[in-house]
Amino acid sequence: MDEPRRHRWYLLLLALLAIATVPFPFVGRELRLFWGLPLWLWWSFGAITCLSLTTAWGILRLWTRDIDPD
Amino acid sequence: MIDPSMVTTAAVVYVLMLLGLGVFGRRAMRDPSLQEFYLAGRSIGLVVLLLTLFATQYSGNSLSGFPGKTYRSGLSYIMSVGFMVAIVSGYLLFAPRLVALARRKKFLTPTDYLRDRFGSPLLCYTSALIFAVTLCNFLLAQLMAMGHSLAGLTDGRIPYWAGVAGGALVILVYECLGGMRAVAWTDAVQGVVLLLGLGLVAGLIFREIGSPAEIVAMVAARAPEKIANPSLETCFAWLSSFLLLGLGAPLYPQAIQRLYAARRLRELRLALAAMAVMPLFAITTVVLVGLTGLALFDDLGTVGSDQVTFRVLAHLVELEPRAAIPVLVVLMAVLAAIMSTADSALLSLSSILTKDFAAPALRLDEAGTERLARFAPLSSLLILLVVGSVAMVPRLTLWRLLEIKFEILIQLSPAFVFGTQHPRDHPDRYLGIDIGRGLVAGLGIALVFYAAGVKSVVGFHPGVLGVVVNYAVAFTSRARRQRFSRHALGDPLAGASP
Repeated sequence: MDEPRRHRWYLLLLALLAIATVPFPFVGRELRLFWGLPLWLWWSFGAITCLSLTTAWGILRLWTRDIDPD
Repeated sequence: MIDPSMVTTAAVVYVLMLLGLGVFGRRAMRDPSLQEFYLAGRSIGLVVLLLTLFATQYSGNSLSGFPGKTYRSGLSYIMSVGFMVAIVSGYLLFAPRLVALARRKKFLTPTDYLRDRFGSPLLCYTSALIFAVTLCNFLLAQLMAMGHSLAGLTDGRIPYWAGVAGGALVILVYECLGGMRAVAWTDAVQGVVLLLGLGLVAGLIFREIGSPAEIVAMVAARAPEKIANPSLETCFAWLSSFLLLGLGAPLYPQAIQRLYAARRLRELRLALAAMAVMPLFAITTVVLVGLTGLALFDDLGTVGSDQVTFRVLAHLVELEPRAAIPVLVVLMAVLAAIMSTADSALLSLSSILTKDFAAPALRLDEAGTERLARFAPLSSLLILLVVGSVAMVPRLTLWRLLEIKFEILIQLSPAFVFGTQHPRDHPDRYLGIDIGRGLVAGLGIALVFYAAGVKSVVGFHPGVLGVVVNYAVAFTSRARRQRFSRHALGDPLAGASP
């Protein structure tokens, strides 16, 4: 049977990173700046960068040729 | 800001270049088949593939609408960078297998996959209709944006109607000449202009206004609430947008057809990996433009804030007159972003009309379907006549229904995700009936909320709530069917105590 690879752990990691981009830990707290920018922005942008790089890595490493006929 | 005659000249030169590429695309066409016209014979290489994916994903809205939203929402709109990354992440849920099958079975449209996988004509017609409705909306929005942009950029020398009609005609000509090949090549040029424009605007802002931290400090002094910590409801809205775009946007037919059209899998992977990183530069720059507007201009209102990009550019030219040429490139980039999205939507819509509606309705076999390639330009003309006419009268209430295009499109997500994760010959496979039940439930929820005027529930889009129910119904339907068939076959494990 032609079974696709599912990479469940990797997809779970992507989902967790996507959730991490939302700055829930900063809700209801006082605004604090770090190097001139709000701390929540560092958090969210950091998680977005991780999501971006993890996605690029997954496309290059896990999108294998095993189900590609050519 | 810039002499309108200069903008008009640049626009004319740009249009002539696009038409020239259409002629080259025609010459490069190998045979008059649907695969050749709609997928460029699956011959698109790395550079053109990357640029066409980029130009298609970044519409006119990205360059003029996103800064406006940043102006209204403040720094929190930086989340749009994540939304654009989420679109590429979303491909990983189904694209690896879909692309492999598309190459093996010569799929032309996304519906071809559903036909092959589920074999349900009703599901195929419904899906094709959802794709067509979404693309009509996309095309309509781009044609209207083209009319408004050309009228604004040339100071009214090109009136709105002429912008819509002229832009549509140019797109039609180069698309009919060269099909997907011409569209991909013009997208590549438009992608380069777009990247150049974004780079120039970022450089000008850094040089003339200040660094991001300085701009944020200026915003904090004028409107401190625009950099404040987001509320819980805002966080839920972001999470909902992540799901909406991550599950919905990868299903855009024009995007899926670009995956089909790649020459080699390795080139496709490289292009998509680059697309995952692109928003860190492209959308961050766009958000920076909106923040700069927030730092420079007081209350612009909703209409004024949508023109914040042009106001920032005008301010930059006032500060540094030599910035006129780079600003002209940025203005052309806005036009390029609109046209590249419109041509992709038109081509995709034409392929769906030909392959998913006309061919089954006429009961054509494979050879007969291929003969429809001769009528492909005619279907593009037909679509532009209808959608272009609506763009001339933009206040038709019927089109309000299309505002929720993503919330409708996302309902097809289980069909692709469950379909590719559990292949046709898998014992735990999903059937068309499971997917159909989920689709009815998800669409029902999205449309009922929309009819009731509810735009969000604790920050979540109704379409997202619908898709959660959609997945749950499809999953439950399959589980119940399996339990029933085990009982019917007398499976000794059925009903056994744990």
